[in-house]
Amino acid sequence: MPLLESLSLTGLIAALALPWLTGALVVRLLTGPNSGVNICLGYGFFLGQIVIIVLLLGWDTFFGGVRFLPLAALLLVLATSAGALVVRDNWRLPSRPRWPLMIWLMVAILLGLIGARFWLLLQELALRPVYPWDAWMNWVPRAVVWFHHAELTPFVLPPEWLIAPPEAEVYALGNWRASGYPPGVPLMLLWMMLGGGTADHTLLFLPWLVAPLAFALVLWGHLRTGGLGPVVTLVLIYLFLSLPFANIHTMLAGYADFWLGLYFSLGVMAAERWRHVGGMGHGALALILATGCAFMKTPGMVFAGLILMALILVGAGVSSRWLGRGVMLGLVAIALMLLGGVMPGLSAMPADRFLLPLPGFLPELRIQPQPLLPILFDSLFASSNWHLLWPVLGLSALAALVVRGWVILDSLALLSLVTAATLLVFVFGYTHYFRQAENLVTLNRAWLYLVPLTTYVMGVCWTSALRGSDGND
Amino acid sequence: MSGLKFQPLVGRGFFRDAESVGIREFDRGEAVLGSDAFFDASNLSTVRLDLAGVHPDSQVALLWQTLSPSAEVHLVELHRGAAEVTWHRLDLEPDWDGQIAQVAIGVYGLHSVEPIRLRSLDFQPPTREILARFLWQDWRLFQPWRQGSANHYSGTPAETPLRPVTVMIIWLVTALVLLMIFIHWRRLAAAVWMPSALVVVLVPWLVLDGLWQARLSDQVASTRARFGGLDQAGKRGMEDDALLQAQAREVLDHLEPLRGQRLFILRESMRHEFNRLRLQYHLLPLNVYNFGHQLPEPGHARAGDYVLLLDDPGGVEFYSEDEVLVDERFRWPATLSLEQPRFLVFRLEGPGEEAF
Repeated sequence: MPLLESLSLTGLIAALALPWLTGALVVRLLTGPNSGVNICLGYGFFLGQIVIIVLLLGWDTFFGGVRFLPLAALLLVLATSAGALVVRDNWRLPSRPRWPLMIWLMVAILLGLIGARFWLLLQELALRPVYPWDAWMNWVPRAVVWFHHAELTPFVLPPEWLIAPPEAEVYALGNWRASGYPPGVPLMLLWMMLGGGTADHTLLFLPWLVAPLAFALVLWGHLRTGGLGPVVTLVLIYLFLSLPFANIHTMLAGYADFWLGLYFSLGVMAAERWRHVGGMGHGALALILATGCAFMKTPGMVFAGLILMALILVGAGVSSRWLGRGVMLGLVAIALMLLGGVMPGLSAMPADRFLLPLPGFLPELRIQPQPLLPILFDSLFASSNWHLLWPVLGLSALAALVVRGWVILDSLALLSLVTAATLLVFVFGYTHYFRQAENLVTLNRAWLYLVPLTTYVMGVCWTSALRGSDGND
Repeated sequence: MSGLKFQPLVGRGFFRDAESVGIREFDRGEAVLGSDAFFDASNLSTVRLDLAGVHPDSQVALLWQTLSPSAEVHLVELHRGAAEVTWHRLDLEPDWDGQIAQVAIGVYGLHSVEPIRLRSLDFQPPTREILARFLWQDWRLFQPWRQGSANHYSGTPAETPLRPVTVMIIWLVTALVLLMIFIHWRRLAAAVWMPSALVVVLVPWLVLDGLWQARLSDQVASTRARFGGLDQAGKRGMEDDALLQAQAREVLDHLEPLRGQRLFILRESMRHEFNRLRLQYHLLPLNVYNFGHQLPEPGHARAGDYVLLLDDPGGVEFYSEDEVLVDERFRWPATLSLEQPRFLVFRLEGPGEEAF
């Protein structure tokens, strides 16, 4: 079969499955026997990617070089050890759900819609060589070099490359800053290359296809545990998995944006779970997922910080009232910033009037109000990026508010979402990054960071509204 | 206008049958069929095109000349999906004016297995039905992936008067308002209206998703037409920059073994330009410095490094008799290592120095 030529299919499957299995078992150990299979598999996929990233970095540091078989063997040992602990901990298979025929029929229809979508996504991913610009410019090259060298050759900024001594083998990417980007995505790709035995194949990007499905498993687990019915939960999952812009980042694989959004969302969801059910395991899981954010993209450090903020709030036992106030403050800030950007006079402020230095690798921000509102409105409510996600979010929140009252604001996930949105509105509406919004290069990709968590928040709103409508509190 | 009135202007293998005319082979990536015409452009500002055999990644254009003395040829791209029969508006084209004397249909780009076949090109006045067709056609328009596709998906051409998401939001809000009125009027229990609201949300979402699914199907068909049934090397050979890839492979073969080798790419454009970045990608795992258009400073390069001049960056000269590479700043002893249509590769043979 031409598709599979020059590729070790066994190695590729092992590269995909071993970290996933290890991650799932570790999640199960962290979160306890009450976590269902879906939760373990869903979180486990992402935890497994972090395990791979850490193992590759560690192996290269301590043993020099990267090899598939030793690392795969180590993963197998980890998985076996974790599995033994799980079995000892009264492991049992989940029982088949007992639903009426009509429920099964609707579930089948929805799964059919999802299946039809992902069949197309799989074909596009498998047929087309790596295509989007940033993928072959920023993320894939490091993996290719590391694969050929069988070690993690350093990548440095161009000025350092020029003055590097002859004995220092360093590389520089064609995008000036890209050599300083976090190594998560190149390492994930490297692992697939090592397993598949090639640096150039479309199926190396299978994790991009699996990631949204794994997130869907977590959504299912959390929302079903929260009391949302199976059909409504699956409708929500279908809405998430059908989003055009998310689909594009699945099949035109190689970008880090969707990964950052997924890690951020999962970290916040784990923190929320810690808040509701207790147990340090969920907190530890959230902390690990925060490191996943930092591994993906430079802005990921900010989103890791938001997860840490959520964990601190949980640890400090912050009251519902303060969570609600934080949400309202964020919404008001967003509204004021958006309106301020289109008010005449304000946007006439001279550029570079205020400079905001940021720590470390982050660039300084030149502060100036910009008319972000019309661009954002077009992207969210007129363009086809998100179907009807944002109007439905608004309506869902309204419905929950009407049925349950202000108590719906008592949500760590909602606070994290609003805080992240506030930061994005500030960055794109009040700094020189407005250019990246104006030319539509970065705005939607940054907004993608919020989308998985938005879906979860929508699910929480639906749960509140439906339970309130049943007279259940 | 029936296709039978058209003659070949560019292309080879012209044929005619009972219903259509066609061209079997492109000539340097083009095929054009033209015909005389005589009508007033302002009266007939919509066009119906029945054209088959076009590769999904090709472009189709309408060309025309008026009776004006300049005899200038005007052109407008006709955005088409997978359909053979398409409708287009010309009233927004500033040059669609005056007495039309000649019209032509041009197809540019990739060649399909099937020949290009023109059945008809009809010019009509705009009617409500035709305007509705335009709208549906815009909503169903297939546009292949571009490099910007990962940044933004608009869903319709920029000039579309009514976008599907806007229409569905109006539908959604209207339906919800009606539902709320009905619930309040009939005093329905929440257990009834919540699922109803969900259905009201799902219907317009499914409409939009149906459009997206259809667009994806068109895209996968296009991708399969280009890359289907090929191994990875074959797929690479079908990419737009296959020629650049082949030339890059020659560089890699020439520089083997690659580890430890370094290469500077010089090009006239500023950094962050598609072709130079793409070349750097195809040269992996070679160690490439890909900035600027001038020779490196003596402290930044060394003997044994390579310099690649991409698309003649200008300002860099090679004097073969002296075997020296010179620009306005520096000079390097060098030998010509490899010559390709788009670039030259030189090997630095000694330390560099200031040019003057």
